[in-house]
Amino acid sequence: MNMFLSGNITIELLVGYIEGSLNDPHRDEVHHWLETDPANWEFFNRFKEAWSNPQELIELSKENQEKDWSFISMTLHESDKVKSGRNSKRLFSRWWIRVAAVFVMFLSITGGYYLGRNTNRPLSLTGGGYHEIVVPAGEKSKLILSDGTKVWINAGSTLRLPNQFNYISRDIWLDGEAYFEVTHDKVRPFLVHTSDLDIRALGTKFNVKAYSDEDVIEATLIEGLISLETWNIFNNRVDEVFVQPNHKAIFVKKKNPVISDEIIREIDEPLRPKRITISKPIQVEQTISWREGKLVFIDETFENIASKLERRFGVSILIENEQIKKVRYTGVLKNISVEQALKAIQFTARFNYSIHDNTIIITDETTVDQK
Amino acid sequence: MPEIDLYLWARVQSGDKEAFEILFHKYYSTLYLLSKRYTKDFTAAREIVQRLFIHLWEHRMQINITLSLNAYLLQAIRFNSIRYLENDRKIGIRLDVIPESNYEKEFHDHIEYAELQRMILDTIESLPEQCRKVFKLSRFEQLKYAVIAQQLGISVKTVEGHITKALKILHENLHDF
Repeated sequence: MNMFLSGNITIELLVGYIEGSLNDPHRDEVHHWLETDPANWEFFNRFKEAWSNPQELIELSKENQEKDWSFISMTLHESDKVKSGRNSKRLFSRWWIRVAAVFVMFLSITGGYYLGRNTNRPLSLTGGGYHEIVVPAGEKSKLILSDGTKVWINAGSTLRLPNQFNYISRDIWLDGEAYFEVTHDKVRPFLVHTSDLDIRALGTKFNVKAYSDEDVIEATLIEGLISLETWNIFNNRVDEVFVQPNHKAIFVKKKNPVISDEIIREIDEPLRPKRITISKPIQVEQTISWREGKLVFIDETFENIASKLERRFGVSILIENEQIKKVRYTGVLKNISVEQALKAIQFTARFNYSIHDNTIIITDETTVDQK
Repeated sequence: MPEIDLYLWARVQSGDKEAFEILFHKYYSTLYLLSKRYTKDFTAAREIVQRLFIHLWEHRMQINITLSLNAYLLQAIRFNSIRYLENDRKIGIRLDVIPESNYEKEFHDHIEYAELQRMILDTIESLPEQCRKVFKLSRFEQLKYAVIAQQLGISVKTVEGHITKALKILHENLHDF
């Protein structure tokens, strides 16, 4: 409530006064108002100055604002491209380039040093209050946070957390997959921030899968209660969806997403872009089997299996035969090398493979291996 | 309101560009006007604001905001605008902002001015179409009512009516401000 515009003093009156178009009685009214309180005088001066600068209205036109935003948006794109170095082609995700790109980002942001690349020791950014933990493809990591919360981080993931949780909430940022056992804290919710939504938990066990190069974000609740919060641009507010134990929440980032068969089996309603869908009750053990180093495939296409193997083993798999990509496989692979995994799958599917450094080429069995 | 900002900032830190755009549009006018008050140069003001937002994005993980995003942004603009003046008008952005107490009053005045001006801008943009047209012609192009009436094919009385209406709406908005 503006305290200065009291009684008979209107903007119309003040404008008239500034432009010299008032009659005497009205002018006196304004004088009286100005003399009553120095704050009125201050407000008047401010208003007079604003009123005398109409060109600022032009400078701040929607057009100019949009132009400035476009410029900024483009610049952000450029700087992000340099940072992530991620390719959209999943079968060609060269993990070592991804990891190298991550370190380029560290150096350019901090302009300083980083500690050795060991997944058990968090990397420290100078000049910030944050740790960033990068788990490359082919590795896993487990942490215990300062509040006692346990976190398991899957291959190809990045976790960021502050050196110290603040007194309002416990915040972490995730790009990838992680499983959390959150300690109970009545006062401070545990918030997992991902690219499109936040997951809020109190005392719970849940799994979050939010790889930035995938089209969906999944949150599976094992025990306790979590909610997902997304920013609804249309209503300008936060949408909140609760998840029950043994259910998975799926958020689709865009139209025509690439969805795994696993998810298709878990839902009983169609997925819509920018919306959260809750699954049917599911076997959560499968979702978190990655922690034990198990890879579980239920009627999955070779293509999907290959990308899981790529992440898990840190290799690049190139499938040269279109038909082989579509072959389906069901099985569990545990604690084995990538070659053992391929051999296991060969029992049911027919293909040849050849390994060169970290690249595997899959061909059909009629092709002769060229060295 | 401050909670929405903190929420949006948390989203920005996780890489949400849409949240960043919302913040940009929300703060743009105030930050631009503030920078212009210091630098007296509209081109510099625009560039300082732009560069600030770019820097904010690139260093978002290092900025820990728990109380007020508004305060942080205003201080950052003031800091960088003053530096622009002191460094011989070269634009470089620094984000580690420390408020200086001898500038408090001046800073406070500038913010008040910027907020007021922004309220006026927003009001004008929200006026009904014809009313807005008339008002802009009168204010920006300094046209006399008779000229406006002729241009738009309406009577001078109608023009006066639109101006009066615009000022009434402006009064209502500022009164609630």
